[in-house]
Amino acid sequence: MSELRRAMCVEDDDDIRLIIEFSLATVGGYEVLACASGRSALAQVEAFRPDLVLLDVMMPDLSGPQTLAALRQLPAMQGVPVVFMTAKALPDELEDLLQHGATGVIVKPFDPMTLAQDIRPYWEHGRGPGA
Amino acid sequence: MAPAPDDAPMASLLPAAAAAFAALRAQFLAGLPRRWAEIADAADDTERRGALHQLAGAAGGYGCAQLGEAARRAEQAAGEELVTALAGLQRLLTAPTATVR
Repeated sequence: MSELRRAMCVEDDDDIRLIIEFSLATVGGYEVLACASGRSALAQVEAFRPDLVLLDVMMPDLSGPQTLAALRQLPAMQGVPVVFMTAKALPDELEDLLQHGATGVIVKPFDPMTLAQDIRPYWEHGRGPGA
Repeated sequence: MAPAPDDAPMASLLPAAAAAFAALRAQFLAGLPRRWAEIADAADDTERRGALHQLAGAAGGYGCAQLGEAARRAEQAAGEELVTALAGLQRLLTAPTATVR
């Protein structure tokens, strides 16, 4: 069974990106690639080959759902869990995000000391064929 | 209860990680007066709302719920409500960092 080793996060807010990177790398011990935009993520994802992607929903230029749709077109990203991060927490909003094909949704603000652990179930249960 | 085998490496990292996060948070708190200056000196509503939005998100991430709520309230306010919300936010942002929640 493979391990969760590499996590990519895509977040346009500098502060939140720093906290996510801290959580995943320093607390979780994962190898992390932090991207400030969907376009940056799409440019780097095939070289990095993440085991899981954390994706902000509201971003300028390419939104989270748009970035997810583009990621799913890449052969290397088939079956890789993608988890949205959002401050919107209404059940209808969360359900709508899952309809875009996300593996799960983490609501902000999150606990920086537990985020690395909180994403593990999505990785364990969200991997598709070929992942 | 002993942590599950998968949790062991993470658990061993926690004390050092908590100290590292405390340092990050202290850095954030030390920068609050600068953030207030960005909000107060914003060229227009869009720039001010952007600064407030970023502050609200960061405050939430650093566990400063009261500050995050104050920033979010100011981000969404207009007119007299905005004046009141900004005054409340200024008090929080220029308070001694040990009192910021």
